[in-house]
Amino acid sequence: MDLLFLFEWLDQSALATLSKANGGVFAVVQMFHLLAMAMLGGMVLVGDLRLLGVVLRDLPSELVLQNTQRWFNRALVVMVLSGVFMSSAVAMKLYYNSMFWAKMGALLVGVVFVYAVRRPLLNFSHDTLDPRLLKLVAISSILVWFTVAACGRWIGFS
Amino acid sequence: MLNDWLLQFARWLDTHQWSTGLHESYYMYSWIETTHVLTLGVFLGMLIVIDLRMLGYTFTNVPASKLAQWLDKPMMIGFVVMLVTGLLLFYAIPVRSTQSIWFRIKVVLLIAAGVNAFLFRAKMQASKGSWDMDTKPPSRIRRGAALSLTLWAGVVFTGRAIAYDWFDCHKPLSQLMYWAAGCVDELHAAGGPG
Amino acid sequence: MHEVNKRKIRIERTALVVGALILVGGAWFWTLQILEVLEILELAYG
Repeated sequence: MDLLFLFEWLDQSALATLSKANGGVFAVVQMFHLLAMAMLGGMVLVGDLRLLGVVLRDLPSELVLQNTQRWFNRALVVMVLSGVFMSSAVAMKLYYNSMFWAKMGALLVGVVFVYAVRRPLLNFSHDTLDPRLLKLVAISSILVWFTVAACGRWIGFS
Repeated sequence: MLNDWLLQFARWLDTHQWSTGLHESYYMYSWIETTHVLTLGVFLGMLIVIDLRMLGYTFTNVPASKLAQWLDKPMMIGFVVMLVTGLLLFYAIPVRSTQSIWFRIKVVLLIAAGVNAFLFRAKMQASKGSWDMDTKPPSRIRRGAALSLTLWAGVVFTGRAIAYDWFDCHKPLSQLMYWAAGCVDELHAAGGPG
Repeated sequence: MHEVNKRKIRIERTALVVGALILVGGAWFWTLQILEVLEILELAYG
């Protein structure tokens, strides 16, 4: 499936007219992308490090996960919206950037993992789950979001 | 005067072989920068969790001071990593950074955020226990947390802006901007005060 | 109760498989990245 048409469309969209015309607006949106990244990273880390027994050991892990999930959702929404805006400015460049596709792949895996696997699993009482499984889920989660972020930074370098 | 000293110091750093080496090493520099940016998720991420609790938006059923205390260590680990990588990034490009208006604002915001954190801690210690279990802490605590988030957001904004050359010394700028950014030579050439 | 247990076992299995795949995939991806860098460095300096 070739997604080139999607990038050509984005490149010609009204959004692109705005993002290409104004470097200042682009920069500000990018900064919100960064701030949301910090929030998303914090929520992922607090949740996963709790599952690994590294932080907040005095709190039930169910409670930690509940509290971080809502803000994770919000951060993800900001990241996707700002990300689409930024992409519109350099759509054709991104289409030919391998790091961008690595990032999108990791992002897809991350989103499916969070909403279809990690959350449904962690909705069960954690006591009834194999602790090794919890640790596997935590490490995979950190790995996949680290990959998304690192590839994202690397888009600019490559 | 201060601008002259800072520039002299930056030029001295710039003569170091390691500084040039770091700047020219594509992978080393890129990975230091990536680490610097990604550690935002650790340092700022933890800070956001703590400050959101102080604002009454998350972990409302957990004692606020306890949460801050428990997350302090991972947050400080993130801070140290950011500081070290940040210093290395400065060391790699000392002159341009010194003459960057964004870098200068960033340093001021960092100091302000540090002072705010210190005052916040003192406020929290002084009134410890009286509001710890409140879903929404008292307004002076919430103000401190909001200020903390605003200042750190400013640090991220200005930090990212350093990469843009909008106000670099080689651009035609006003006298005030030359002075504020520490463009000593350009200021002299324009006939302004040293 | 029986239904819940069945669902639980299914999700546990999925989590095990997907988690393991992410670990393997991630390790593969980052090994490739490191190898690529080493290769380029060797071309440049070796």
